[in-house]
Amino acid sequence: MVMFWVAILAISILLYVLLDGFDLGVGILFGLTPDEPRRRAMLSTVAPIWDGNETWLVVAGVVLWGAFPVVYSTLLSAFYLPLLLMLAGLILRGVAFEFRYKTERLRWIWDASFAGGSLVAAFIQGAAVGALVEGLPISNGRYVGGTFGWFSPFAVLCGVGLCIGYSLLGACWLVKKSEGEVREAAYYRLHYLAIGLLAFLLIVFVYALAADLRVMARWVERPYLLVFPAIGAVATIVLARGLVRREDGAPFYMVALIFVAAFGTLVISFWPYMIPFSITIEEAAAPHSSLAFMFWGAGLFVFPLMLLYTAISYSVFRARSNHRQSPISLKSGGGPWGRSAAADRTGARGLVLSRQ
Amino acid sequence: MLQMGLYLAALLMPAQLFFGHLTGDYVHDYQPVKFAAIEGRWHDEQPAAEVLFGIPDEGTETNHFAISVPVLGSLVGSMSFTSKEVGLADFPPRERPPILIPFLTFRIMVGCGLLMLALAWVGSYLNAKDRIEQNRLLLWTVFLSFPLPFLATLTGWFTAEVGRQPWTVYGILRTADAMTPSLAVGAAAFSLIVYCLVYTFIFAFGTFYIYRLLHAGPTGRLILPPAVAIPNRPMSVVDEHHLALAKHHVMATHQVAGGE
Repeated sequence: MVMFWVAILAISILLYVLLDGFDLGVGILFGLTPDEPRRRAMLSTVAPIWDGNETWLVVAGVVLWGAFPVVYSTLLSAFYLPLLLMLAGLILRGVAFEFRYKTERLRWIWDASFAGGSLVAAFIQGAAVGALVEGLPISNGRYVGGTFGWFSPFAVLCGVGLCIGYSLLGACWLVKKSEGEVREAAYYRLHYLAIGLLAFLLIVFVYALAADLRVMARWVERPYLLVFPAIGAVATIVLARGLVRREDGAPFYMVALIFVAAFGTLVISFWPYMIPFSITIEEAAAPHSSLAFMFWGAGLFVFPLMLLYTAISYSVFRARSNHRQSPISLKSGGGPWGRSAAADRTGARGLVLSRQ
Repeated sequence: MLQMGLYLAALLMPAQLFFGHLTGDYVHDYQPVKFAAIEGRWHDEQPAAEVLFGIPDEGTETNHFAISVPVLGSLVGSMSFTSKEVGLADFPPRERPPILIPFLTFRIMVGCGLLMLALAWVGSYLNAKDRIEQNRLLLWTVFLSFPLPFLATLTGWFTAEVGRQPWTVYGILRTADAMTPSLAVGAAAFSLIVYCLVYTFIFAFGTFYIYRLLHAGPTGRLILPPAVAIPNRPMSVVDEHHLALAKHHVMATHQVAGGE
């Protein structure tokens, strides 16, 4: 039962990072894009799905709360202020989707909220992971670090790193989902972001070696675990090839694979601890009766249902969102709901929708 | 659009009030202190009166300027004319919630509910009689009533949360014991200020944008989405429709000017 909830938690966090990762990334890139038509085009690539993506943060939070209450209370105590700022950022960027179209004079406020909120949320998630890797000050199962106990240069480094990572994911999404100028700009940035992410991972690795972090011990003990970093390396090579050949779909999946590899690496580094080197999974788990109670409702029905609707919404909106001013048109075969593989491979990706 | 809204509200408002009453029964049975605080009842009464309005005073344990209806309290609490209803004095002060906030917010919530019910029923009646379009007063009131549901939700929330004090988990975990041990006063104050600022900011703009949306009114017939789905925000249809109308208007004006 404990392992069931560990799996659910891992899947939820991973889905959150991948899904909200790209739309936070689009938010950060949005801040770097000055002109309105491109901003609109960027927004419409994430508009139908961004709020569904953020549900996974709620799921991860609730699973922690219900199944691993010790971890939930420790993390929320340790990251009290940063998580507060993250929520404020997510709230502001969420309303910006609608509010920016309600005004022209004050649109800059909502554009700033959108880009700033995305940046803050990404930074804080990265910083929190960095602080966990370095180890939180915990004694007797309680966080004792005070308001800024999580803060360290390494946490800041990881915060910046995740901003780069999410931007990279966002750029890949734009390459996959948009056309024209937006896609070109995304391609251009993608190169720099990919190099930036690699540089960041290298710095983290060197730092971890130099600072002799405890997480490194596990890799020395069990070298076969290096399969995860290896997957990341292979994905990087395929990503580079995709960039050279300009295959629009490939980069997103490869960067997603890099994220999966990084997540797997973290999980293995932490195992069997949930909060490294102070709280193990067994210690953190709620009593069996609570876990079993949640299993029959949330675990068995709600979770699969959420996976299902996520899959459905992505398949409904799988087409490119074209924003050029032309009549609503269907280019290439497949029809609106067509699943023809040929159509998916052609430039138009099934259906090209335009708004008049 | 107005018709649909009025008829829906005419049906849903009584349902909402009924469920509210069921919730009240639950509070009456399981959280008697909260119920007494909401009712502003200080001492046991049989049959109990219902305080419609007043200013509860925790110092003197009385209500100032109280307007009460005899027996109605028993009717509301237990659906009976004779039942004995519990008062706050039965509980030691450290087991009681703050009285004033739940007492007032509950009345605001119920007031909003009754107002909406009245608007929905009067509006539906006038609509059925085909007289609604002449009734400017009602149309304006309906238009300006858009904050009522939000107000009712918020004040209801205040009633529930403040009325639950001093417990976080009723009867098991006191709020004082539920605190994060390491939480500094500064951090807590800062978080409260940030939440207040963020919510004030977006609620102010949100209310204004809803006002503008309603002020523009439904334009033309219902807008159906095109046969193929467009990946965009739900409200984008409205924006573009308004934009298109504005453009159309400008073009028409230009043509008239050119014609002269």
